[in-house]
Amino acid sequence: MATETRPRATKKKRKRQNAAEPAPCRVTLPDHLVAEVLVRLPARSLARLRCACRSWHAEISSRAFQVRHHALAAAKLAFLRRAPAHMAFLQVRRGNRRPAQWLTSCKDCPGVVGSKPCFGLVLVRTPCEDAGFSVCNPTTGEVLHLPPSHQKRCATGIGFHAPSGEFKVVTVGIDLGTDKLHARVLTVGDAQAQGWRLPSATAAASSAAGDFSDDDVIDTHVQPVFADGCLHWSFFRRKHVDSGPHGVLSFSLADESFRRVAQPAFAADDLVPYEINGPEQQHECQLWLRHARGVRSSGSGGEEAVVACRRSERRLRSSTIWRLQDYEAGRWSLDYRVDLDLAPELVAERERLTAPWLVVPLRYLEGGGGLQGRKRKLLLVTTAREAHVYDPDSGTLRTVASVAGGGDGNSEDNSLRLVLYQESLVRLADMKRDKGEIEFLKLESNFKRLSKSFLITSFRYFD
Amino acid sequence: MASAGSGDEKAAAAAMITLISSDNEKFEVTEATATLSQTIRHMIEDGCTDGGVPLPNVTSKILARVIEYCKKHATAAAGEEGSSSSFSDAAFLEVDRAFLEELEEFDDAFLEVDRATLFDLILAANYLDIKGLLNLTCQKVADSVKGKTPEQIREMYNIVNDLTPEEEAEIRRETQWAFE
Repeated sequence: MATETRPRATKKKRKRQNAAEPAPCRVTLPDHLVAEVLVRLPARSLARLRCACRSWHAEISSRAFQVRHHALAAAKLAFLRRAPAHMAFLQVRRGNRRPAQWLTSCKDCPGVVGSKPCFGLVLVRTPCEDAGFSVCNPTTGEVLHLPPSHQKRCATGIGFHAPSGEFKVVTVGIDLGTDKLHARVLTVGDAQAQGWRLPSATAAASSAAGDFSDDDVIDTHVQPVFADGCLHWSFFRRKHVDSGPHGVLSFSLADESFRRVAQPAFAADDLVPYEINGPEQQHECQLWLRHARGVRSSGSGGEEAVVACRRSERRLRSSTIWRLQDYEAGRWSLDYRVDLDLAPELVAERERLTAPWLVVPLRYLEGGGGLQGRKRKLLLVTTAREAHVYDPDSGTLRTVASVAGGGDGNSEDNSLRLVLYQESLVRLADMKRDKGEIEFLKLESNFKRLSKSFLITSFRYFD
Repeated sequence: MASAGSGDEKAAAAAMITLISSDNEKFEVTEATATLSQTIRHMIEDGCTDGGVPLPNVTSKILARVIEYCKKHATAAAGEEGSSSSFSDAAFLEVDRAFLEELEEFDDAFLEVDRATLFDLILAANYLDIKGLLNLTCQKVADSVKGKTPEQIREMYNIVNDLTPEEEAEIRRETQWAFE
């Protein structure tokens, strides 16, 4: 395992052997196999081993190693604790009127943007501070505060551009006056400290993305998705929510261009307009959100794909996942179906997917000890703070995590609080260990046997 | 250990491959066992296994162990060999427990070797391109390293600390959380 042996070490070795202690190893592994071993170590051990020697330090600090380590790390469920509400001035905007300032209770602040960390990094927004964003790595507990963006009412997202090894944060909105997209990009940890800037392909952006109308809204309720080297947001038409067209706005991290992709052609009977069956406006809105699932990312083994999901609300029979095959042509293919047309005795199971406000597919699960010919299973999380594994072979749902005090029902908190997390060593320049703004609670589980109940430990970060 | 599997009626019917170790010992194995190695699989596909496959990088002692592993895992799982721990999704999957436990017991016993043998197995798994075995052996080494301090690791593996005191202090400052 030694990368280099020098005379000094040989002398030391002889001395140790005389002392009848375990002899240091004489067989050595080539560097690429040393890396094979290192990549299987937990983040904490690797951080310590960075100071073993220069070559290990270089290996462990390289982005390529960190990406591979992240991909191999065990997937864990983490619970994002809701931040306590506090009083703050918030800008509230109604229609085209001038924004007003309200002293109000600022909920879920700081909050996390996106339903999945990006190579282990999460983008944290602090709405009551002037458009304050920070990037944090829950594994190391390090935080980087980003310069203020001064962009109001924007959708945000973080993505990783693998070829350059850069993380980019993007804010995007539709100008009410001009109906044009306005966007700002920040290369995180940028040595030249360019700060927020226009996307490099901004001239082409408006033509490629097409003009928007003042009716178009980027849906900030649906979390952005990073996949295929692009960030994706869902947008809809305010006045015609039932008829569409609505779709996906994608931003390529490589050339920084925007594109619009129409949503997949859901089967006609899937496209049920919401029913107005109550005086409560809020209720309508929620119902609509239940229909419009927007984009999600789903993948396994490092393979990510953009998917759009739709839950057939009226008959509650199935949920479908669509994969975006071709950005240019806007071609989607039906990728997966969660069949909810279960036997009568399984109605209770079905309700676990039909009752929550939002159900999100997190990841396809592949592998599992050499059982061949099985269809891949699907890991889903819901706003009822539950995680389930759907098995298409048996048509059953297995609950793998359930956090007490579920968000649904009291409608106080309809955020997705369960996230899939894999350890990451990624470190950006100037990242500092900071007081945790966001509380990640690790869901304890035995990795060989996952029990239904979890203990929640109150670590601020993962250990 | 030589001519492994020759007594097996079923194996006799299947295509047999002869593997030749660096010290010229011959091992006869079924094609199913041999093709756990991607290197050998490619050789079979190219039709260059007549007269045996010479493996100049693997000694008979190590080859015997490798074949032992391949036989177990070839019968246990066609396709996805290796224990479930190689998948990052393992936690969410319910797998055939009896089957897995037996395989895990085998793997645990298989790894009861000294460090030199373990390293030789890693080298062989890498050369023969046997993913499951490479994962298993590298994970074993990783597990033995896990809780150790940098000083202990340097001693264990004869690593010379070639960082300057300033560099080391800087790294330690950055990774202070890992030492807490």
